[in-house]
Amino acid sequence: MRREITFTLNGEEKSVFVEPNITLLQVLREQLTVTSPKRSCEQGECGACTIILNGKAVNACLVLAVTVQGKRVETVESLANGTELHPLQRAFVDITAAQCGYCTPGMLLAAKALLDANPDPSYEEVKVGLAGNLCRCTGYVKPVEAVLTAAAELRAAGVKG
Amino acid sequence: MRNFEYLAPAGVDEAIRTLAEHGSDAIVLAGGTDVLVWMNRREIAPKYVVYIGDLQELGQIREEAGELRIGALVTQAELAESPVVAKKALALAIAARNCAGPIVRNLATIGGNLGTATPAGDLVLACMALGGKVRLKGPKGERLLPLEEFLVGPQATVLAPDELILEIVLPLPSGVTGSGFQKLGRRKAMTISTASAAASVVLSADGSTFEKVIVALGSLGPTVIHSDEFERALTGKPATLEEINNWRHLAGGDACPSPRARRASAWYRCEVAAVLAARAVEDALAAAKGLDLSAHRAASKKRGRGIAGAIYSLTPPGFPNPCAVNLQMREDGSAVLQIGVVEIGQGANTVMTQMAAEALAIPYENVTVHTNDTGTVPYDFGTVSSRGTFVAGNAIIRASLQVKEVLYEAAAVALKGHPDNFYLCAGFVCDKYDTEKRMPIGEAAKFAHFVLKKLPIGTAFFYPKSSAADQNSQGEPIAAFYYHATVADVEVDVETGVADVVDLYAVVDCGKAINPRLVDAQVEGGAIQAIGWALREDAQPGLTCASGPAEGYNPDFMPVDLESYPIATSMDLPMLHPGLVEVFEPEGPFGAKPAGEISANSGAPAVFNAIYKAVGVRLFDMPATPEKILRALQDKAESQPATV
Repeated sequence: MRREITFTLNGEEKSVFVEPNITLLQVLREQLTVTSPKRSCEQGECGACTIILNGKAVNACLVLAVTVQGKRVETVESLANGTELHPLQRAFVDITAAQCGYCTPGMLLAAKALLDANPDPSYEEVKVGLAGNLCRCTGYVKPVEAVLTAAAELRAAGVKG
Repeated sequence: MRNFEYLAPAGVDEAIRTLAEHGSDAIVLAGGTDVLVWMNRREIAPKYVVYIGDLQELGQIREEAGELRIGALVTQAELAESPVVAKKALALAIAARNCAGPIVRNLATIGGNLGTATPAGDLVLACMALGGKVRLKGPKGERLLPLEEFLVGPQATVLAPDELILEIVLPLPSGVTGSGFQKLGRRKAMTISTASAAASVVLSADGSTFEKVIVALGSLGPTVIHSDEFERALTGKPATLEEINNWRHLAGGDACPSPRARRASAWYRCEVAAVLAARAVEDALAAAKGLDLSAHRAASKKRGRGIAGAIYSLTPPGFPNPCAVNLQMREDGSAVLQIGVVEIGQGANTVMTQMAAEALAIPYENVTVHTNDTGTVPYDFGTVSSRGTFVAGNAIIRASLQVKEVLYEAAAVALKGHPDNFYLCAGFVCDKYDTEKRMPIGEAAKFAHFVLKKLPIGTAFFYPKSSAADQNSQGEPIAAFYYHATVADVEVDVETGVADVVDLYAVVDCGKAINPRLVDAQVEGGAIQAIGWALREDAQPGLTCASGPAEGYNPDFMPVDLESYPIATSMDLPMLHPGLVEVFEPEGPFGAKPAGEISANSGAPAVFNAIYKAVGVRLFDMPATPEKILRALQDKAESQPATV
């Protein structure tokens, strides 16, 4: 039975009607046309659909939309301030940390959640933080470097990730 | 997934009433990391889904009355980060840190790990080693069961359809205690345990004797099981590493040979169960007594360095490889390139833009590339065979010659010079011999349009040498060769067969690197992929293979999911040292050669050579799984007479 759910998407309140068997990923992509979370394995194995739910990075494919009632959802669209890229995004561009780009939105959000919780992560901690986001192109070297670069920049600017 | 009725009770008692009403037609949903996967795959299709994920009363970790009580909805991430869990139940904290990856850990709950009851469950394993009990609640009240009674088989528990898991209760024995957890998977994160073990110990007050030892084994029996014989053998014995080693052969007990053979053979799982069980007890002992095990653990690691090189050719002899471009200089001094070489993330658009800008001596920002759309670009057969930079660059250079011819003629007419004396310099058409004679490229293009009535357009075609060899095996079959070398430092654990690439140096000769950072990216990505082929990735041809499928393998070509085809995670990244050797290639555009596929070519042989150097076994069959390495090590030991 369809029911109405209301949640905050990137700071904006959204209401949609959903069937119980629809995932948050489907609602974002198909009903709200926010296609930055990628539909890939749908088993929680790849991280391409990563979003931030109430401050934690999670797989949108493993969250039923009906359970998001009243919660906060952030996608990669929340990162940039208008046309000004978030330091994480800028570091990914500057360091060539994206190749095909399919994993990139998820990786950025995993990195965002990591830096929110730990603004000064070690190299190993960044590797742990990105471990749920599979990437076939980059070999992770440059994404890890980009996250460390952005973390340093955010610390220097004295703002939270 | 099939549709269902969604029910979200507001509290535990309401949840139990809801479950009592719908019985086995209902399923409880919390973190969803298993339930939603099963529903997505249509392995289950419940009529009712009872969502309890927001019941905060089940999300607490409390230490009281000599017990650690962990609510069913505590997530793996919370367990991994909890100071009290790390202090009082270290095995559980380490188990949680080894579950899946950080994103799944934010969803997956301890109650789910218990309820799912897979023998590979990491949290349930740690809880059993810590003497855990599970508190259930149903319409008739609560019951507290030891895990040994709760678990009855693979994915089977005594939980009634109308019962809910409330919490897991871990006793906190006083005295000298410690616990440990060990897991082997196909990679370092996002992996289900191939084999696992957890242990806890209580030592005598002076730390000299094992008073109580619990050892639990994962992925070996129908449920997580106790290593009864190992526990009995150690109890009352001196609390030393030697003693643990003396009895570890008993670890598998009745479970070996194991009838279950997922992710590795029964033989391998029993072999490593003993190793992991011993290490888990060692960890527990070390935690209890404050020992440093690093030197002890290093003894089982052997290190070797392997080197390999690769040669690659642009395309096979006789293979057609045409590339066509349109290149136009516009009257505003910008250029438009139409080309069918496809950008797939490797940076083709960047490199083609750079080459067009270089060929026309205009800023990079002034080049627009149209590509990837067969409706708007000339024919090309795509991004294959590492051809993009080489064929596109050559075609762009050829097209640019035609553009220049028109621009030089325009400049010659407009400035009263000779076309042969003009060249392009930083956005201008300039006379070699008269610095006064120069005009902006855009002006020259406009002059060509309006006065010369000629278009400054180049339409060029490039077809690299790739003739089939003649009857004397002569000809020009290959336009360019390029080279790659890898040096791999690999550490092999001789007890488990696990090989780990510690350092990797990968160097490509790509001619002149048009964009060194993009070449680095190719070298890095190729290196990690090569390590994956060498150690983990196993696509089975299955039934399409003439020799038939290996026993137990999936009959489809590819494994069914990204856990069983374990490409590297960030945790599997070694210290990687990429390098370029820029040898100018006369046939290449601006001296460039390809750098794509070859970057994945010499990694695997280098890793195999390093394994040989480290432990003296020569493997030929990729991937060198821990099981293959351990088998080869044992075969070698058996074939060599023991030296005294």
